Amino acid sequence: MKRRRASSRSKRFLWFTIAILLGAVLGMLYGWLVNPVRYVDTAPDMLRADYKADYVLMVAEVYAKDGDLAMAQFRLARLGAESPLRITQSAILTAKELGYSQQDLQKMVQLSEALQATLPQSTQITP
Amino acid sequence: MTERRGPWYLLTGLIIGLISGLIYAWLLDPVQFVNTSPDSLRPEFKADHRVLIALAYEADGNIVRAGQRLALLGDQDPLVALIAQAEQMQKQKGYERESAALARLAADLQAYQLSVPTAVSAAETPLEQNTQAVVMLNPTATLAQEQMISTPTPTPPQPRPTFTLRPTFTPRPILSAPFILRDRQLICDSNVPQGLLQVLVFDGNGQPVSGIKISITFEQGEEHFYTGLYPEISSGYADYVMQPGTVYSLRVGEGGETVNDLTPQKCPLPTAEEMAKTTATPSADRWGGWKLVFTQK
Repeated sequence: MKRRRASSRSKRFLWFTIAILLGAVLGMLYGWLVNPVRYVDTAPDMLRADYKADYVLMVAEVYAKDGDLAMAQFRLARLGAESPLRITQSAILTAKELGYSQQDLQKMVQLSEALQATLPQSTQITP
Repeated sequence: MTERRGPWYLLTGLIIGLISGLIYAWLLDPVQFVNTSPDSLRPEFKADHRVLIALAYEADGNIVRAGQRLALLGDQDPLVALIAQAEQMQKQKGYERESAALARLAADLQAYQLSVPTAVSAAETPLEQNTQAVVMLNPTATLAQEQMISTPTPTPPQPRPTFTLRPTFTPRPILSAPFILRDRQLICDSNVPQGLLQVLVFDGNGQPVSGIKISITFEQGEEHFYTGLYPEISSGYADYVMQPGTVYSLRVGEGGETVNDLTPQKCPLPTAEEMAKTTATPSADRWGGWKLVFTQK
């Protein structure tokens, strides 16, 4: 009698565990696929690479017109924690892959060169 | 005594599991969106993006590209959003360049939409070869959420803003040519707000010009406003409400003719004939405004 009761209890425990696991799987499926967390108020650093490249192109176009490098750096900083130069270089690579026109690429390169020029020059060691 | 329990423990287990699963999926390890599109940006970033689009348009003059970029922001009416932002920035000091660029883009975009009706909504229009960027830059082309999870580096149709359409329907004024006053009329129309100063700016060819800075000075200070914020009236239109008893001086553009002694004038009482025509109640102390028409030399 005791053995039967113990067997019944372990069976119930097994089914209880299976029910919990099943519920967890259903919950995760619902939370990830059916109704995932929605990001509606995102920042520019979360933009897809092609949108980032277009953003950098806009900054380069504005810089080509007004020559305001500080403002260009400020705008580029919105695209992430990387340095504006790094962001521009990544955007140039994306733009090349996407087949941007030579004219657009030229503007981005000019911006990249201007950013490069702001970096401290490596000190030359004199003997 | 035998213990009889129903299958409720299974339901309890399922509920516990479900709650744990949701906590894990929503709080502990939620879906990370890293490849978002501009339409999901926070409102202030959208506003920054709009300014950047307007400034880039100022630089490249490519209205098609500017329109596509605006469409990416997912505004219900990009034109309305542009005008609202231009008006808002006009009230803030230090944003003259930005508000002028937004106003100019709004006016040019509307003119473009009117001139090319098929391009009114780039996002909905079937596209030709040279406008394939519209397809790619269209927010609806954004990956579905399921795809975003499973493929962190998706390869959607790629933007190729390689075309260089240059619109020619909004000729820019020659910056050096000043604007001079061509016409000045007292407006006593009861349908127009009292003391309204209406300014219309045209270029040498008689075309309205948007984004022109108008400076107005009075005893207490100086204010600026721009043409193009009311494209439904004219892209060269701007207005300002004058206060009775204050005398204003106005100049259009840089180095244009200055018009002095502008102040609301008392309107004459309407004649019996005019009263019969209008439904408005005649008032003895109605303040009339001015309508000034400027053209480029």
